[in-house]
Amino acid sequence: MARVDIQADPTNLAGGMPLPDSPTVAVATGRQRLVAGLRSLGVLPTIGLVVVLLLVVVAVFAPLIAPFDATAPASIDTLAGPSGAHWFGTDMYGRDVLSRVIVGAQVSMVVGFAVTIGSLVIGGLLGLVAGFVGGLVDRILGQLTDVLLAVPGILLAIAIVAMLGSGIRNVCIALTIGQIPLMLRVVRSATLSISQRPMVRAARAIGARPSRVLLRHIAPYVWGTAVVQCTFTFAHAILYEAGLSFLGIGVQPPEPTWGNMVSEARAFIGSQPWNAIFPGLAIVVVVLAINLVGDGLRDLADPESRGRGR
Amino acid sequence: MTTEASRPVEQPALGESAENVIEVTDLVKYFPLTRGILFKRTIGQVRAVDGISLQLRRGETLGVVGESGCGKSTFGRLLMGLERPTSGSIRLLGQETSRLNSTELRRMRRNIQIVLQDPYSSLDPRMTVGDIVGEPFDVHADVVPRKGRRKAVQDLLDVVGLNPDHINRYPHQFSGGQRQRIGVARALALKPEVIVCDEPVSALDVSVQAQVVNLFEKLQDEFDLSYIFIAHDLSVVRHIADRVAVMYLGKVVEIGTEKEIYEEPTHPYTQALLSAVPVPDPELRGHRDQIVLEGDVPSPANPPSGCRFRTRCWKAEEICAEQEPPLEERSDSAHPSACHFAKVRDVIHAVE
Repeated sequence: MARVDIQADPTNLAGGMPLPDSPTVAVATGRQRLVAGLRSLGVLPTIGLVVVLLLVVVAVFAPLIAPFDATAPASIDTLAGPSGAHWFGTDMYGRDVLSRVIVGAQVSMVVGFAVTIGSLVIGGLLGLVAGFVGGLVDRILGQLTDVLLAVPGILLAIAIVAMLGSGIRNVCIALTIGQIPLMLRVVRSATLSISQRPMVRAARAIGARPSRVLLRHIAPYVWGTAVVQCTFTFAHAILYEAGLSFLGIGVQPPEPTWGNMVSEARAFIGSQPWNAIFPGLAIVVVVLAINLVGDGLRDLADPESRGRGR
Repeated sequence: MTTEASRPVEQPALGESAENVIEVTDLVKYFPLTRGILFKRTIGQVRAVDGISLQLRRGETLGVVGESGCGKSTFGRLLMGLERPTSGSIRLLGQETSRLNSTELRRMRRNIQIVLQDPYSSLDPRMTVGDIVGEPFDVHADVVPRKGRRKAVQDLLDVVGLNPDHINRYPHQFSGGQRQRIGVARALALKPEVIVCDEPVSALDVSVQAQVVNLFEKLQDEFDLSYIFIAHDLSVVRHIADRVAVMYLGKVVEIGTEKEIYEEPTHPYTQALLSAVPVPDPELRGHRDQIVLEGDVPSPANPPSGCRFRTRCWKAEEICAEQEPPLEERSDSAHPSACHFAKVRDVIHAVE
């Protein structure tokens, strides 16, 4: 994701380096480009990127990595503190908290990616159309967006899940519906501002069809903005999924998610805080990491905002 | 508005025989001012172009001058079909273009092209020079066969004075003047009859302006082009234009040959504009006839009655508020001038 965006940035056609005079010198190896790309991304975003990639690996190979069974109760050792055998301790059914955090990452990642892709495709396309076509289409979409945004995100998600029923698929649908208006707005405003550029008028002047103008001259410039918004969508999705699971209407136990782990740990938070701390920490770390990546990408896409946030 | 009155008078002096490539008659473009979110209603209109009639002859350069907001750029976009006129007619090579559908409009663009003002923002930074100049061939696929396109693009680069070997470079690797040459090459790609130049040198350094203007002149001879040259820089227009139209608040107030406009201006607005051109000779500075206008340009959403210039004109009398002066030849003006009191006043040479 990140590398695609670095290449999409027009000032970074040679991976952050100024283009040399002769075009033959401009051939950089893949590794050089990656290093140059990461350098222009900055230190904190790079750390965030590493954390996110690690988590993706953990989620994909969760069953292999997890030292214990994440769902089967083992009544021998309930509510034990961190130890050599159980690094994060055990919960009230004696299950290894570390294993549950690792397996729980799967749900977070699946929800994160599904919601991000869903809202990017639907919200992004609607935003492009609204910004480009304008007129009545834009006004109707704008009003619908305003209505959806007027409802608090978590309340909207609860309402939709209540209608559709719990389960990971319905959680994804509910969160996607909640994220579409945000993506639509961001993409629409980027489309609007890029449509005003003289180069778009230049394309129309040579007789380019609207589809060509939109796909060749507008969409590539909206892409950077959309990718930045995607990182925030991803973080939102993980947070909201945790919230829904915490409230008991998301993914149902015994399937572990960070949200329902924190929820189950509430009762013992005074005496056995690690039960809540570790899944809670997982949520904080991953959301923070994603936001760092998002900030870095935004700075790349919009050099004017660089330095303000650091 | 004043459809009958503003019909222009042809000048027999400049070639009755010359063919008109563009004929504009009573061209009007109003932009609605709207209010409301879901259901919009019109609360007023900005009269950007309000009844323009003029002709462009083959091989001629018609300068269009006027200050910011007088509608000259809107006029250029109307000619290009980038805006639809509210009313009036534009005939390009005898064909009415103001009511074409999108396919016909695309076909029309082979005959008329535009060079935009800012060579930095009008070139797509992600495309190579070859892609930018060759894009017209992608859009009009039957002009040059796919195999010959690279060669055609290199020829175009050569014609505008760029190195054909730089075809794979990106716009940011070029200077402002070179970028404008890229824009010109792109406009030439479809071999148009007419090129609308919308302030093509305003964004360039003075030293580079002359080179680009000379390029325009060279290309005109080479390809028998006709130009509509929109600018606010009067000296550039004087250099390149055969005829000049002076615009004020959406209307042409005076039109004539370059010599008539610059040496025998009869409209007070033209005289004021010319008197504002800086004097290069410091010895003469301050000695020339200087006309300083009072006040601002009125809003085009609510123009004054009668003559639009009367609110700032030192000659204004009652008749100016009551009757709009038509653009026509008058007893003291050999060329069309829209002033009740048109009279020659040589502001450029006047020295005390």
